[in-house]
This record gives sequence, structure tokens and C-alpha cells, in this order.
Amino acid sequence: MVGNPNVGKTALLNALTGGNFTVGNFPGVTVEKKEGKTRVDGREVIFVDLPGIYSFEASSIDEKIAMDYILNEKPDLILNVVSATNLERNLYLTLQLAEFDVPVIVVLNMVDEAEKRGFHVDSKRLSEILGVPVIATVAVRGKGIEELKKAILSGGAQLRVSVANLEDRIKLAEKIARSVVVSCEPAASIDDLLDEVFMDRHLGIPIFLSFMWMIFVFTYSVAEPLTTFLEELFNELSDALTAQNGWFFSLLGNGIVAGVGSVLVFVPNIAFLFIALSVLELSGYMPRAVYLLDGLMSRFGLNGRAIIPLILGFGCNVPAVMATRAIEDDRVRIATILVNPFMSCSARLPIYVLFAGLFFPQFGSAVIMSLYLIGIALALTSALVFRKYLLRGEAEFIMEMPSYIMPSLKDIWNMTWIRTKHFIQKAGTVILVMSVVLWFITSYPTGDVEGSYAAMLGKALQPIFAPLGWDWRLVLALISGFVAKEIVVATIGVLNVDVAAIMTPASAYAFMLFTLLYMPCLATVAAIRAEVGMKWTAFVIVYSFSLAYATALAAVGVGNWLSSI
Amino acid sequence: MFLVFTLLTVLEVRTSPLNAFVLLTVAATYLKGGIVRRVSYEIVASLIASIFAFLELLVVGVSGEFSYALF
Repeated sequence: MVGNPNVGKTALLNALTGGNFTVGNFPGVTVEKKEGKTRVDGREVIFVDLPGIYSFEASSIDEKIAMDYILNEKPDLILNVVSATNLERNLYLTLQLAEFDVPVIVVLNMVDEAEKRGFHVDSKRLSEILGVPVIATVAVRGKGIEELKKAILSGGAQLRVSVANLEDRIKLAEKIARSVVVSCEPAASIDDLLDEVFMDRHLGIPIFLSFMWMIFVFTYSVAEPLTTFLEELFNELSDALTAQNGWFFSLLGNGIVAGVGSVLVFVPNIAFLFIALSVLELSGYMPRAVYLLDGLMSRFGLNGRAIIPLILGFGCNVPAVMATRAIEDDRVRIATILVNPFMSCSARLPIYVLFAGLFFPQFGSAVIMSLYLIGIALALTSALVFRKYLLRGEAEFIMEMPSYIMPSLKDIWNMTWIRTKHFIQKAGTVILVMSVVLWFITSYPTGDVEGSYAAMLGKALQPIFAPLGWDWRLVLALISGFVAKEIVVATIGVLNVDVAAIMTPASAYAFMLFTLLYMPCLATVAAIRAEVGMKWTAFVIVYSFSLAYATALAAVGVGNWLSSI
Repeated sequence: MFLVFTLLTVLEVRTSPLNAFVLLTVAATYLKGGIVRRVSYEIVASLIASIFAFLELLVVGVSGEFSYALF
């Protein structure tokens, strides 16, 4: 399946295979190929959904992935998914497919959207011109899928038209589009109506910030009763287990339940955050945010296309780093990767909820939002520095606006569940193992925490953090957080630290800032290394630690000064 | 509606400045709709206000603390 970004390839894959791959409503959702299997008339068919591309010039990584796949894997058939809403631009890619010597079926998707905008595409005429079957579909509603399956079984055909020259290809795409697009009465456009306000020069940014604030209220305040319920449940379970004698019950109660439970209690916050982000992503609002912020981004040496990886970073930095593959310009891409860990991923949320709830109960949502905003501000400032001194050069981008749609509950659920499941799986794997390790190093060799291996390690490193006012247990939590940020909370749970007794609000805020910035987690480090190599990975580790230390120190200083006046 | 939401903004600002910011944005959207005489601004302002009201009702449902400048 080959096509431009945001033409509905993943929705088509889901419609053909009954799968539940994550569908977005903005370009660049698919950055790696996805596979789905189904049986068509008794025959097994494997579909491969390639990243959305505009051409085969191989200037970006996703274009290279798509081209290498077709050249090396030699698929039986290419399903060229084109959007009926922008046929001319889509046909430019279609004409390039003639070079691959593989049968093609053109899937004319989103025909309903085209009609809403006042035009109709004559699929029969298009098929005659190209010499291949053209099937009209509305993938999100399953329309035209049965006809497409029949066409797949008949095998497609070689494209009749082929143009080697770039300018001639543009001209031919324009000519074909003109001959098959027929005007009709446009439906009243809700897109124009909403865009007039959402992209208003004066109101666009305040509206965007209002939505952001509502997301934090939803994530923090509305999810709170569920979080409290889970917290009480795990506390009861931990107490019941530790009441039994023996090392095994100590491991279960003080290690596994205290560690894993202290992370799992934040699943409602994570899920609520993902519900809100899914609604924004699926509705089509997100690319408008990209447009609104493009002017701002370009002042910091990035461009609007960097927004998508940065926003994905709120979920998890690993897919966000991979999403930078859609950025054509290498310097912008590297800068976006380097600053991505400053976008506050969902794994940091448990830390914020814990500390904000304890030290700033009245302003929890505002404190958490301030951390997200500081992360964004430091990411943009860092990008400016990198682009000015390390990664110089101009960069441009093109992005189209998808239509607004009312997200379906199924798509919201899929997107939320896939992301939340990732968080729960981590709790059942890496956090479980780390909880056992933490239990061991806090229980041995002496049996009490003060004389344990963990205390030795924490106390040895604590002097580095003494100016920030954190004791060795918090230092140990930060060290273990390098594996995965949720383990910071797990460590505090295993060590049974009464943070309210050993910290001031200023040092607690500094601690949250430090965990936001200090180092990407192990999985993100691995993703950065795979994308940009060891040199930049080492750089980002040293840079983020230095920035975190300086920022936390400044926060403690300002906090102490404020409390003294 | 502009005046109603401006009043709500003033009442809310001491309780929650960020809630007040949302209300001010709604008020400003209504105001611009009135100035440029476009119904789209009134529709979007009402949409944002409805989402925010629903959210605040959820908050009161789970915490018993209602704001939105009414209580």
C-alpha cells in the first residue's frame, strides 16, 4: 500500500484486514511499514502499509523505506491509495510507480470528502487513462472494500503511462486530474467554518492553550478518584502481604506490590491523557496546531513538521523519535530528536501527580501544566541553540490540512488502549524486574535500608545533589529512573519514603523539573542511537543532565528566595 | 454572551487564573464574532464553552469542587 501521507492507508488496512492499527488524522502517523493479513476468497493476502510519501526521490527516511521495500521485496501488487480530495498531487506519485514494473490498483479513497468539497472524480475515465483498475472507496466507513477485494484477486495491471522527466510528470498529473475531476454542488463546509476561528491570527493560540489546559484538568482532576482507589487497593494488598513473616512475603509486599503498584496507580491519569490526545489527533485539530505554531517554530530553527514528533513525545518519546523520519531536512530532524526528550512523556506523569498532590494540592493541574510548558520552552530554546551553532541551515516544509471529523469511539478506544497497554506492559516487565532488584539492594546485606547496598550507592552519589536538598533515597530513585521514568515512583514506593517529611515545596518542584529534563530513559536512548548514532546520543545525555541540574538549582534558589520574602 | 463570559472571567480569576483564561478566550471569541459579524465565531465560542462546562461538571462529579465562577 503506497500513497501520500494522510490519504487513509492505515484506515484501508484496517478495513481490509479487520485490524485495529492506530489511525490518525494528520500526516506521518505511519513511519514504519505495518503488516496485516486476511483471507480473500480462501486465499491468504498479506498487506504491507508503507509510510506516506509524496515521491520516490528518497530525500526523507520514509521515502527510502517505501522505495527499498518495493525494489527489494518485490510485492505481487501495489495498492496505490490516492485521495480524491487532491488528485493532482497524488497522481504525481502514481506516475512514478510505472518505474517499478509491478502491477498496480489505484484505490481512490475519500470520495465522500471530495463530494463535500464540490467535485467528483470519474474513476472509470481515470482507469482508462492509467490502464489500471481504479476502485472508489471510503475506507473509514468500509465502502468499496468488497469491490477492492475482487480487484485484488484479479491482480491489477501495469500502468500504461510513464514519464521520466520531473516537469513532464507534474504537467501530466495536472492534465489527467483536469480530465477526470467533475465539479458538483459543494456541501456547506464545516471545515471552513471551524478553520476561520481555530486558525484565527489573534484567537488561534489562546484557543490552543485553552484546550491544553482542559486536557490537564481532565488528566489530573477527573482521573483522581480512580487513582485514589487503586492507591488504597495496592496499599491494602502490600500491608496484608508484609504482615506475613518471611523473605518471600517481604519480596511480594515491599518489593513487587509496592514497586509495581506505585506505578500502576497512575494508569487512570495516563489513560485520560491519551483519551484527550486521541480526540485532538483524530478530529483533525492537531495539524491546525502545527499551522498555528509554525511561525513560532521557525523562529527556533524548527518547522511545523517538527510539531508532530514533539506532540507524540507527550505520549512516549520512543515513537516520537521515530516519527522524525517524516522530516526531510536532516538538520531539523536531528535537532527535533535531540530536544524530544524534553517533551514530558506519560511516564513522568506519575512523578508529577505524586509530588504535585503532596506539595501543591490546591494547584495540582497548574503545577503539572507548568512542567509541560517549561519542557516545551526548554526544547524550543535548545533547538534554537543547536540550529544556530551545531546544525545550521534553512529548512522548509509543506503540509496539508485534513478535514475535521467526529472521532469514532472505536478509534479513540484503539488509540488509547494501544498506548496505555504499552505503559501497563512496562509495569509487568521492566518495572517488575527493577522492583525486585530494588527490593534486594534495599534489603541486603544488613536487612535494614540504612545499611543496604542501595544506601551505599545513594550516599556515595548524594553529595552531587546536596545543593538541591535531596537525600540519598531520592538520588537512588533518580538513578533507577534511567531505566524507565516510572521507576522513580516505584523506588520511592519500595523505599517507603515519606517525601513530605524530607522535602520543601521548592525542592519538590526542583525534583520534578529534574526528572523532566535529566536524561532520556533507556528505551529513548536506544531509539536516538538508532536514528542519529552514538555521537549525538552521548551529546544529548550530557546536555540534558547539565541542563536539568542547572534548572533544578535555579528552581531551588528561586523557591527559597520566594519563601524568605 | 461576551458580557456574560467577561463577568465569569472576572469572578473566576481569583479562584483559578487558568480557568479564567479559558473563559476570557470564550469571551474574546464572542466579541470578535460580534465585530466581524461571522456566525462561525459564535459557534466555536459556544463549542469551547460547552466542552469546558462539561469538563467542570465532571470535576464537580468526582471532587465536589465546582468552579466555573458559579459557586
